[in-house]
Amino acid sequence: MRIGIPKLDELLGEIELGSTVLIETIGEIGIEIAIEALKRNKEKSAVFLTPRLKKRLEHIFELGEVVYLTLGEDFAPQELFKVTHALRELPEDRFIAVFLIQPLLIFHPSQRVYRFFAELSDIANARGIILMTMIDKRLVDERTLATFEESATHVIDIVEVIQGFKIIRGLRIKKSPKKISGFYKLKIKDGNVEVGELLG
Amino acid sequence: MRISTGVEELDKMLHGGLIPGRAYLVKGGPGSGKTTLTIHFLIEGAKKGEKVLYVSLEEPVDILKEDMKKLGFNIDVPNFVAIDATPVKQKRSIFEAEHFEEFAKDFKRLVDAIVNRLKGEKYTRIVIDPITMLRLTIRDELEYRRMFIGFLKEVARYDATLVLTSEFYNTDIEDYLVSGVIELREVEEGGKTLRGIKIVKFRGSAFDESLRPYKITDEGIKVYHKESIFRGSDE
Ligand SMILES: Nc1ncnc2c1ncn2[C@@H]1O[C@H](COP(=O)(O)OP(=O)(O)OP(=O)(O)O)[C@@H](O)[C@H]1O
Ligand SMILES: [Mg+2]
Repeated sequence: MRIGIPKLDELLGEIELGSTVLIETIGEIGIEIAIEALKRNKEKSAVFLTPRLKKRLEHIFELGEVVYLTLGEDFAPQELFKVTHALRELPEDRFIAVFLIQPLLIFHPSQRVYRFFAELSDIANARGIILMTMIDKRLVDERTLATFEESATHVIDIVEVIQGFKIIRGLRIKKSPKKISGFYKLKIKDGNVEVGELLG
Repeated sequence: MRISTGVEELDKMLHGGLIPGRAYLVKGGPGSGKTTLTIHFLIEGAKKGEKVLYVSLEEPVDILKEDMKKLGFNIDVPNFVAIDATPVKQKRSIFEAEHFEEFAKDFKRLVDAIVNRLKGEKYTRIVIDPITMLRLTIRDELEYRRMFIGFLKEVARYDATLVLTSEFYNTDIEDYLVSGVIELREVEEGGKTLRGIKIVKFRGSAFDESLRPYKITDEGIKVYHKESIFRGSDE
């Protein structure tokens, strides 16, 4: 699979079926990457998301072709088993699963979220589904983050540096079967993501 | 050879189903789905044309019929025999001039009545729901134990698979005497009750030892036999 963001695709290479792509970020910065992947692979994707994000996505593209499960509507935050079950039972033609359910990290202790994530990753691997998820680095400690990284095949790390009134965002490939990278400039404008030059 | 519980995913947890001709106990708190599970089990037999027997000791049978209809189970069929042995105010003869409502007070009479039925006709599946009252009728634990074993032995002669239900108690006398125990547990999580099913014992077979989530739905009990609850001591 390719995400659809030229420089990022070049850095990541072809993402093999069964991979787990983890985007480590601050808040929702870079969610456009997941949205772009969804947009490009509508009829092959399933997304697990919050009602708020569902509304947001509906403004961006026709959600009709995407299979989606909404937190609080299709499953309660307590019912993590429904999510693992849904992934296990995903129709054959859906081989990309995107998890945008950050509130679970606040609801559950991080150890539990990790076990949940590891289970999702195992199911994805066994079924040949590409799993993509985001994690807010501020919500987990380093140890937990390391365990998440351990379960992922690809880790995209997003950072933000504030210089005076200027915000510089960077993106690097922190883990990949291919190769890791240094930080590249990350530009997000009007919902479009661009990965630019290598930052010094 | 195995006999289906009527819940496919539970059969998988049991590595194929129950071993027929033996006695099992379904334990759970109020409203945990004990009755529903036993109805799954009996309906499964009835659908195959087997004759099945349900003895209700707490819930009046007409109410049960109504509730089960909502879940899509029609127990109002000739080969599903439901006996109302609930205590009622005015004595009524419900069945063949015998006072089944009295049995709740008298373990021995209930056993005799069931055995008499078995002598007359072949039943493949029997449910007694729940056995709580029976235990209360016998003060002496040793005596209760003796009665209970005698009952299991007697039923075993007729090749029927027996499923009993009970609440959780401080002591687990029955657990030791039956061939298998299935528990319906509850875990509170953030203001919501999560339900989990666990096989704690199953003689003569390997089984899934994990606590698995289940839900009671419009179609009865749904077990998520591959999933975990992600909670508490089972984490
Ligand atoms: N359609 C449904 N959806 C969800 N839950 C349901 C539905 N129908 C019934 N229930 C629940 O199922 C439970 C009743 O199940 P059941 O009578 O089998 O439990 P039980 O363990 O036998 O209870 P008791 O201790 O009262 O005998 C109730 O808690 C009820 O709320
Ligand atoms: Mg009941």
